[in-house]
Order: sequence, then structure tokens, then C-alpha cells
Amino acid sequence: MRINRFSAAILLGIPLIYLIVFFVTPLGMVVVDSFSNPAGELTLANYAAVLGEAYYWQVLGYTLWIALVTCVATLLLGYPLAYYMSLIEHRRTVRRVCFILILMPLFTSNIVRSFGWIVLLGREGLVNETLLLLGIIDRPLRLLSTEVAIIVGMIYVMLPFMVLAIASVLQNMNGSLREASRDLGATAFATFVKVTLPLSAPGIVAGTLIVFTLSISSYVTPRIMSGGRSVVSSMLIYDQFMLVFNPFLGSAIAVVLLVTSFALIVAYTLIMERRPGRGGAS
Amino acid sequence: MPLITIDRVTKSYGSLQVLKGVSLNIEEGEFVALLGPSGCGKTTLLRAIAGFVAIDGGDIVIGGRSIVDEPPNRRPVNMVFQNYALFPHLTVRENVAFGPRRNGVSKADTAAIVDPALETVGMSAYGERLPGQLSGGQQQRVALARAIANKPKVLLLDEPLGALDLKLRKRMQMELKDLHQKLGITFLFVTHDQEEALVMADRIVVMQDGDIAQVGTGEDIYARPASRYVADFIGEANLLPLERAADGTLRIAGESEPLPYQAPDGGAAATLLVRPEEVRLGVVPEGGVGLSGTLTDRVYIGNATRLFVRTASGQSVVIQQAGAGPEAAIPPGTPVRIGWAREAARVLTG
Amino acid sequence: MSRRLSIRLRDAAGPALISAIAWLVLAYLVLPLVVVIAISFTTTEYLAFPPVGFTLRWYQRFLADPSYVDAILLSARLAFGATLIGFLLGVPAALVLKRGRLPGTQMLANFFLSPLILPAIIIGVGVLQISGTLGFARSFEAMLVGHVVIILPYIVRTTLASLEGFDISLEEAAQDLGASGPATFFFVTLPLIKPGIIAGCLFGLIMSWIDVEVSIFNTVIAQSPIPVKVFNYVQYSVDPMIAAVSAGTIYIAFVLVLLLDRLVGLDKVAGQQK
Repeated sequence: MRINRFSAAILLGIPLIYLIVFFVTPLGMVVVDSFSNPAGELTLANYAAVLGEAYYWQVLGYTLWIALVTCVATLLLGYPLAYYMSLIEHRRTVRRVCFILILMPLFTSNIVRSFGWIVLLGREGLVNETLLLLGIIDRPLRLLSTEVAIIVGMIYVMLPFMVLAIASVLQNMNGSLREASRDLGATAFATFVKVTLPLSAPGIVAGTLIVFTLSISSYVTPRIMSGGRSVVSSMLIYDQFMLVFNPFLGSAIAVVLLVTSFALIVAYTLIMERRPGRGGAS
Repeated sequence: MPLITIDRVTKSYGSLQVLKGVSLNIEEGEFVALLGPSGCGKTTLLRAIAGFVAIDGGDIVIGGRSIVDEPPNRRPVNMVFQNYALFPHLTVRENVAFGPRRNGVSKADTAAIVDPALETVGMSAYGERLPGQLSGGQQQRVALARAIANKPKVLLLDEPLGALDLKLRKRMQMELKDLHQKLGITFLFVTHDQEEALVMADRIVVMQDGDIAQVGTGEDIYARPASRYVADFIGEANLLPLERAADGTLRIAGESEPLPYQAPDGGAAATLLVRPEEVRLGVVPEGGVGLSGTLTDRVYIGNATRLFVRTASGQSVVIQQAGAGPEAAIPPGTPVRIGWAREAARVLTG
Repeated sequence: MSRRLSIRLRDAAGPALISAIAWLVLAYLVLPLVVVIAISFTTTEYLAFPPVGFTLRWYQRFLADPSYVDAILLSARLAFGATLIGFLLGVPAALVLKRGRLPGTQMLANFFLSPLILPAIIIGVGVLQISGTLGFARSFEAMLVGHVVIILPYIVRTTLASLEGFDISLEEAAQDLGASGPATFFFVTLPLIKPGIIAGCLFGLIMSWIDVEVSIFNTVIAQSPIPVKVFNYVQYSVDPMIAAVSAGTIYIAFVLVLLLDRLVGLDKVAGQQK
């Protein structure tokens, strides 16, 4: 099908205008606001406030820390599941069940999922009850509103993204590569380390990027799991816009978050691309 | 008047000229093969006729009407694609009905076209299947039925047998020939397989680097190739480079014996063509050409034996003899004398 | 004999270990959902897990509360509206990006996908700003506009992906057989890329349905989509009724997963996930 230039311009132009008006312009406004004061003058005061105060640095650092822990944990938990799914390629029903179980949380709001964890992590929740029963602890732990709760909740929310990113690479991997490796004398473990793992690198890179990006901007889960204390940057942004009504400072925090995450993503991508012997494009 | 007139058609992709002013006439009802190696421009020419390639210059006339400005859907031609291009979401019947329906034939009348078309290719029993449920050969037949359902003036076939295995290919060659007889429409067929072209086509167009090297019947091209390129492409050939001696006679490079052949006009390089089945072992026919050499190898291929001879001057010559032959007893390494009748060889340019 | 056995055991141990871990992880993934569903049936006034007895009382109570029904209807209107607009904008855009032979299409494609990597909360803030400027701040329209931005990439990407593997000769065959440009599109191209478009639209629908971050900046308490309403509620108190509301959204998610499986196949969806 050929599309002539005139209709191409219209078909592409309208969505383009839409994104420019409702995506690019708003971002531009946020950036402009971050350099403004209530009187409408240009100023660096917002950045001076954000960058000059240790508190904001702590929150930003904590945001990045949570994102990093989430990344590593979802990778460690998600990889075996994704790998398992590539091993059961021929068992379609089991595979389908796996997909349903992975997609179900993904298709449920963060808030509902976090709600489930509130119940599980409560003083008389399943986690405490189990630990008590097993004799690991002798009185209930305070889990809610702790760092543990935030991280458990974040891992939970992000895990499906990691599994799907890795699984999509593993399922496209040529199965005979593994067979060739075994045929050439490698053990199952060596095959995994020398063949499967390097070839699934693009999936790992894609998965960690998604999880990291979503984690640093995550709002709902930290808000619910922290018991309301503002511990990550996105919560500060919300507070400034909706509670303190200082969109200028809020915008500055948003821009700092955006620039930091962008810089980290670019650095990570560059490092992974320069890695010798990387396996294919993602 | 010819049905198709292709007049000095040119086409370039960037600096690469894929058609260099091709001219060709095709009569109504002919079965013509466009033959050549990949990259010779044969598929581009076919696609230009179908309307998928916009030509830079020249004209293509079908039935007295220039079609170069017509979109593909308005041209009186239909194509059998290399990979068949059957619509995977439509059944066999729906695939065949696609053309008539798009051309405004009513649903009821379409059935009267689809049924005989499927009948013609022997696929009547598979009407409700999806293409994915058919074998390669069956898909090929459906693609044929779909292309003829529109009753085109010309059926274009782009390497239609390429994906089939050898046995099936041979059978489909004969079936395509029958189909051509039955329908009586013009077939224009692209192939890189010289045998396929020889078996099916009334006329063969040998293409070389965006140009036509030779047009003729299979016999013309095999027995009287116009150039070294054509001779090499069609059938087995011994191609011996020639030298011009000071006295103007021709010699095989490295040999001293003058040859009884005329040098081509001008100073063009010349090659001597001798088909393997024309070369004799141990006999030099009266007035013919004789060479000395050593038998290097012998291969038995069922209906014939191939003998490989290296001449004293270092040329390789292949001899093909029917059956096993008495020479089967000669061990490799034996010095032999080979030769051919004067009229069995041709001097070619190039 | 024993050596052979030990090798056998070793070869079986790896896969067994992997599948054990995999099923534990899967259990981790469903546990909170199961918990929410279970406690929605408890007869107690407080959250009890395992639930005590069985009652549909909490469902009755939430369905009798018009503010929850309204919130669900609002969310549905929002999700379908955003998906429809996303479809109308995204599919033509993807078609032109793939087929238009325009310069710079790779960059433009990246631009269309870029809302994916931008924090949703910043998109929410941005929409608040622009809608304020244009005079429709904190309204259904403001949320709609923001949701279209976050779901458009899903639709563009899956449409692009299905055009990626598209065999051009199928379109040529259609034209060769007499189909005009539009007929080729509607009879051949569209039916073949339909699964990709459906997958993208369903994904977009879900992303809008579960969104909190964009909505929360652009809504007022009286007019909240269901996730925002649950969010506001859960921050202050939790009770079995909110579990019933939450369970309701899980049932809807289940239906959507099954729908996706039926229409497109879950394997395919996973390959195109973000």
C-alpha cells in the first residue's frame, strides 16, 4: 500500500500535533516553571532550594537506592521464572498459566496490589503469622511503613515487567544453540553460563531499564507502603503541587529527577553497549 | 501486432542501472521465459510489467495500449508470486475469489469463476482450507488458480517453482505447459534455471546485466548461442579461449595447430564452444580439430559417462558419452587424443 | 551404575530447582491478589486473612454506594475514550511511519514511544499545567488527554511491530488482482495486522484503567476514577468493603487477560511488552 504525501502528512500530522500540545508543551511548561517564581520572573531559586538542601539530596538518593534494589531483586527473581518458561515451550497449558499469573498483577492497579501487601505485612498478617509459627520470631515484627515494606511492594509491582522482558528474548532464542552446546560437551550449567545467559543479555538490559525507569518515578506503591511519609522524589513532587501549592519548586524537583534518571539510563546503555561480545540487538 | 511491446525500458536504482533499454515483443499465446542469473534484471522487468516497478524511460504496451501510467490493479496482467503471496487469513476459495470480487463481479457469478479455476489446478477439494494448511505444491496451484481467475491477457510468473523440491518441480513444469495450452493466454515466466526454461518456454530471453543477450527458441540458444555468456549459461559447455596468430588464423590458447575457423570481425576476444557430447575420444573426424591430452578423471552419471581431459596446453575439456562406453577401462593418467568435427564447434565473441 | 544415576540426578536437579523457584515466584505474584479476593468475602468487620465465613455483603455494600459505581463508570468511560482516541491517532501514525517513506521516520517513531520512558507522574503534572492554561484543569477531559498520552505508545508500538513482519508481496498480490489502495488496506493489510492493533488497544485500555499517577493530578475528589478513589481511601483506612472493590478490579483484569489470550495469544503479547 502506498500512502501519498498529502494523506501521510495528515495521518501523521494530527497525532504529532496532539503529542506536541499535550506531551511536549506540558513538559516544557514544567521546565519553565522550574525556573520561575510566583511573580512570573525567571529565577534559579528553585534549584538553589532543591540542590542546596541535604534533605532533597537524601530523598533523591533514597529514590535511586530503592530503584536499584528493586532492579537487582526483580532480576534475581525474574530470571529463573523467565528461564523456566523457555524450558516448557512445548507444554502450552503450563506456559499459558504462567502468562496469566504474570499478567494478572500487571493488569491490576498498583493500589490494589499494594493493598494486598498491607494485609500480608500487617501485625497479624500472613507473613508475621508464618514467621511466628516457624519460630523464627517470637513476637510480631513491625513491617508496614518500613523500608522492607516499600521494597517488597516495589519488587512485586515491577517483577512482571522484568519477567516479560527476559522471557521475550529467551523465547526467541534458537533452542538448537543449547543443544549444540550440550553436544559439544558442555554441562547443563556451563551451557547456561556460556550460552543462554550471554544471549539473553538484551532482555536483561531491557528489563532492568524498564524496572529502573518505572521505579524511580513510582508514586503509589511507596506512598501506600511507607505509611504516608514522603520518602521518594515523586512524593515530594506530589506534595509540592497538591498540598503546598508550590508548582515551581515541584517542577524543579521533577526536572532534577528527570535529568538524573536520564543521565543514569544513558550511562547504563553506553556501558552495556560497549561490553565486549554482547549478544545481538534487543 | 504483438500483444506486448516492451520498448527501450530503462530503470535505475541510484547509480545502479538494472534495465538498460530493454526492447522485446511478445505474441499472443506465447510462453516466454526470462532467463538469467540473479541481478540480471529479469525480475525487475517482470515487476515493471505488473506495475510494481515504475520505469524511468521507455514504454510498455499491452494490446495496443500503453500501461506504464496505470496502477497495478488496472493492468490486464496477473502474477504468480515467488512465495505465492496467498492471503493467510482467507480460505482457498476466498483467495481465488479475491480478484473477481475486486473487479466488481457479483458473489453469485464469482462462484462460476472460482469453481472452474480450482478445477483447472486440481484443488477443488481444498476450497475451505487456509493456505497455512496446504503443502508447497498445493499453495502453488492455488496461486495459479487465483492468478487466472481474473482472466488476464498475460500471466506473469516470478520463479514460481523455486520453492518446490526437484520431483514436484518437474511435474509442475509439465502441468504449467498443459495449463498454458488449455488457457491459450500468454505466459511470461522468470527463472534462473535453464532447464526449466528449455522444458517449458516457446521462446527464451536470456538476460545479462540489464540487457537482453539473446532471444530465441531453446534450440536456437543451445545450438547457436550468440555469445560466450549465453553458451555458458545454457547447458554444459567447453569454452576454450582463442588466440589470433600472426597469419590471421585462430588457435586455441597455448596450442600451435591453426584452427579451421574464421576469426570474428574486429579485434574482439574470441572463444571456441564445443558441447561435451560433441567431443570424441581417440578419434579426430576428417577436417576436424584434434588435441592431445591426459585423461584426469571419469564420472559415471547413469545415462552417460563424463570424461575429464587436460590438454597438453593445460585446457580442461569435458567429454560426455552415452552409457558406460568402452572407454570405461581407460585408467586416469593415460595419454589420450580427443577431437571433434569441424561443424561441431562455434567461435563466439567474448 | 551409581555413576550413571548420579549424573541423571545432577541433570534433573537443575531443571527441578529452576521450576521450584519459578513456581515460588509465581506464588509470590498471585498471593496478594488471592489475599484481596479472599478477604473480600470475610464476615468480619475488619480485614481477616484467612477470611472468616463467607458473605457477599461487602460487594452488595459497594454496589449500593453510587460513588463507587460512578467511579467505575468514570474509569470505564476514561479507558474506552482514551483507547478510542489512541486508536484513531496511533494506528494511522504507525502506518505512515512504516510505509510513508518520509525522512526521519525512525526518530519520529522514537518520539511516539517516548511517553513510555517518562515518569507518569511528570506527565500528570504537565497535563495539569497545560489544562490549566487551556482552561479545563481537573476535569474528565484533562484526565482523558493525559491517558491518551500514556497509552498512545502501546498502540503505536504494537501496530509498528505487526507491520514489521508484514509480507509486502501480499499487498502487491491484492493490487495485482485488481484491488485499489483502500481495498488493499481494508481487505488484506488491516485483517492481517488486526491482532497487533487489538493487543495494543487492550494494553492501552488496561494502562488507562489502572492509572493513578496521571489521574491523581487532574481529578477532583467528587469525580475520581476507581483506582484514585481506592487510593484515597486506603491511605486512611482499610476495610473489607475496599477489598471487595479491589477484588472487583482483579476480576476485570482476569477477564481482560483471557480476552487477550483468545484474541491475540499471550505469547505474542509478552513479546511486545514494554
